[in-house]
Amino acid sequence: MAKTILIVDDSFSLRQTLGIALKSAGYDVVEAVDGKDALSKLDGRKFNLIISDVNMPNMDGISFVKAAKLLPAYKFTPIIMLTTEGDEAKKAEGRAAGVRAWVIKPFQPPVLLDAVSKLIMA
Amino acid sequence: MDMDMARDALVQEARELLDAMEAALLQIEASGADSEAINAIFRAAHTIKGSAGLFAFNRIVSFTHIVESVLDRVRTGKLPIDAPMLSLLLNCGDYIAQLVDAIAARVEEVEPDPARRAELEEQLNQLLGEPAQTHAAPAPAPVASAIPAAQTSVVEDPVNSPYWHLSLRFLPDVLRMGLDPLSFLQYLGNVGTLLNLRTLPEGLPPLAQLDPEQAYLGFELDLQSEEDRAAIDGVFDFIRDDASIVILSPHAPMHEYRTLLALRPDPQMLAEVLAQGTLTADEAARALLPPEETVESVPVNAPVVMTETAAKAPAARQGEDKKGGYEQKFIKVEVSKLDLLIDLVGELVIAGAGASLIANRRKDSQFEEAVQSIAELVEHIRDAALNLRMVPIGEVFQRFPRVVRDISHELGKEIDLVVTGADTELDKSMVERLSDPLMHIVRNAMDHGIEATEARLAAGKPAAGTLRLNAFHESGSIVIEVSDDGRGLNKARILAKAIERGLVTAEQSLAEHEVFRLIFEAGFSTAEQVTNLSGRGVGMDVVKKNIESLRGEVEMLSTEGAGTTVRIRLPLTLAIIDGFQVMVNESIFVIPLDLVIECIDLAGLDGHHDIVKLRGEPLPFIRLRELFELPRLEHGRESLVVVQFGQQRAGLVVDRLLGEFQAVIKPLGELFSRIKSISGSTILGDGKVALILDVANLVHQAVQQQAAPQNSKAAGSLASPQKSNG
Amino acid sequence: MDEPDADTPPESARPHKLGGDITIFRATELKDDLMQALAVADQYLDLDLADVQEIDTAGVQLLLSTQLEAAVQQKPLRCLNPSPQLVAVLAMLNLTDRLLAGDGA
Repeated sequence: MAKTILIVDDSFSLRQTLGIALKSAGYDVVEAVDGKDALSKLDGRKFNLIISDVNMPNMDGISFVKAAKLLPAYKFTPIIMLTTEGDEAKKAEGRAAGVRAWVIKPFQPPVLLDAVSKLIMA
Repeated sequence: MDMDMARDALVQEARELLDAMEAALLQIEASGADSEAINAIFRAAHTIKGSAGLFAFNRIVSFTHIVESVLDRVRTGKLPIDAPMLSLLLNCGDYIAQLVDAIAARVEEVEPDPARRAELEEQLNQLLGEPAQTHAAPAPAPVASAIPAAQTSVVEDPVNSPYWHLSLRFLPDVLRMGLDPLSFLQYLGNVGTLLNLRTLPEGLPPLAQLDPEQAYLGFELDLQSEEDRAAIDGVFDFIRDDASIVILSPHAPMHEYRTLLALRPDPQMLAEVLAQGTLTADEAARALLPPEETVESVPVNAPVVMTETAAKAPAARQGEDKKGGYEQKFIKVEVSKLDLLIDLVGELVIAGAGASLIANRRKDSQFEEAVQSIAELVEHIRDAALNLRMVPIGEVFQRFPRVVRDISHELGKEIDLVVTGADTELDKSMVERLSDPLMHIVRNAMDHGIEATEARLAAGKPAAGTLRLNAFHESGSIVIEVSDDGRGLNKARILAKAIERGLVTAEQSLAEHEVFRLIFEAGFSTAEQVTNLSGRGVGMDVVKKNIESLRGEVEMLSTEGAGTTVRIRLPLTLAIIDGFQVMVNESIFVIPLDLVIECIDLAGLDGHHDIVKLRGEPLPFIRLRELFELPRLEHGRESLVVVQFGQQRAGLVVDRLLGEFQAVIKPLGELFSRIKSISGSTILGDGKVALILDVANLVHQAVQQQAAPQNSKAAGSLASPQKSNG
Repeated sequence: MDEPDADTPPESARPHKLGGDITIFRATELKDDLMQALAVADQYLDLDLADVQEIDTAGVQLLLSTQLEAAVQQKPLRCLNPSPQLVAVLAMLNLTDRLLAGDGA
């Protein structure tokens, strides 16, 4: 059964490009445009991994992660956060919220695919 | 999705973000800073940078990065968002747009304007001049991840093993963080070959005491790999702070193994494990001997120290959807797909008409009913499909706040822009072609229409001039008005100029609207009017041509001293219309149904020549038979179709009325496009071609003839009376 | 009707099925499940692992811990019909001999 990844980012072109890269690598992908949308997708279906941007309208990445970790079905789901270089404050906030994996924007898809394969079994 | 489509998606998204950024900046300028607007601006730069980075478009990435850094400071309050900052950010937005244009044109490796970029970067970097204050927590005390190298340069007492050795232990909570040692081990298998892997269950308590969510397992393994230490070490970046990762190089010195054993809780057991493959029995025994160098050993199971950061979480934005509390769901559709759909609907309409015709002839009422319900559905589909192409004119209007701001600064005039009717919809195909003419009209109004501040005050007007953009629907058209409260048009001066340019003679007496219309004549724009702004040789005549190419019209209205309004009228749809079929002699013509007011039997009317009295009011009319030089019918009963375009009405005399009909407009070829009375053609159910009448033109002709009866000989020709055929 | 073969170890009650994702998400529930199964097991704790999908560290820990406990209670653990995914993971961790030997450690 394919592993499913939830991508949360308000950039349409990033979601598309990343989606293609992940699908080509054999993952199923579900997209959300911001934290609120992402939470609505955490409805019990299985996600092996969540990739979320930090800066989003309606609900930012950190708030989303905090909310997601309150849900029993998702509290142990590995999360990769996408962040800006040098945004130490956000990283610290993320750490406190339980995030351990970061990829710095801008990145190219292979970098992210790499991060994904470190966190979930093939 | 291939590279081109991905690139187009990026470009489109970037342009939308830049529009939002500009709108937010202008809003801040007008009504002060608010955090939502500032965040929107930040997000624009951030998102463009991220998306462009996926494609390694480095020029835009590096520029946007600096802008983002500045915006980050603004967002956190370290830099003020004052007037110079706003102008700088607007200019940066413009430059980013240029970079996006370069991407769209596939020349992203060429810097659009290096001098400009350098100028902007200098200003940005000046703002960043102070050293950035980070909110970073001091790095958590790391668990020793590498054994310190030996002091001597020669590796003393190297072990046999040609492989890297890794010793992995984890903090109890590591699983709760969503980190699983197994996935890292599996990944390591991509970096090299895993050998002698030992899973150490020693920490596991009896099942009853097991905390199912806690991590207990440790691992020892060898790795055969060509990679360097950094690459191997890098595998564990995400898990490093919650683990103890020790990596020993191939042929590592013995003392390093000693240190490792001392580091781990059960050296004896570990030495036995290592003896099973990593080390020889002898080496393992020696490794148990006390190490020569002391190393700070941190107990693995102690929690890693982490300092809580002082950074406060940014207030979660409420983000109320701006469209009044409900969320609009959109999907992006390629324009070509939409056009294909509309073509197909057009074919469907024609095919439906064909079926109706057959049903009619068969005189089969059941069949007729069935075809009728199909026809109704087709009509709905037609309307829905055409509606897909309708977009709010706000799309066209949205660049004007910026334009008005910039031009008013340049002119040194204070000018406010008021936009109404931005929701009014029009066909998407018109949007692009409307932009330039509107731009020219606006610049004209600002440059020539609105007076300088002193002149306005002297005239008792408020110092700030007002420019209004307005749009609304009216009888099958969309009307767009650009109004100003400036000096208005001076009839006498315009007339004088026109006479000077030979456009009219001094003897002709012209109504006010005819005088104003002279402005649209080629050759009217004078050298003095061609200023830096509205010049470039583009005159109002080109504006008129552009509008007419959209099958619209433009007119000017003005009150001297008070202001001027330029009014543009465009048809709502271009593709499929409800038509009214009429017959002239043997030929069938179609009149757009929403322009038809009523039909009257001509015989009972009192009229002569070109005017008929309809309920006491004079109504100019045209005999289409005469216009198209068609022979008279023997037993014709003429009817009068009253049509309206804009504010004017006229009558069209035809030989027979045939009824309603959906016409799919097929464009006329080049050859016929000059014929002013015809705006298109359509195919009837039986395959015959019918011509669609250009009501606007016909109404004009009729009105013209009424006003100047001596020119009525023009009614016999097909060409427009105003221009002579060359 | 099958004749019990003299060479194969006698089966206790029907093997306890352990399937789906043996991961941290269900770890607490699975622990209770295994403790229960151990309690009702007779001579062996037989686990039918044919339907195991994903397995992570928490899952491996459960199996190992169960094995230890089962040995203490003298009802050796037997992992039967391991799914391909389970076999692969245990192979990577070099736990094949330990957990999949066949006749209980």
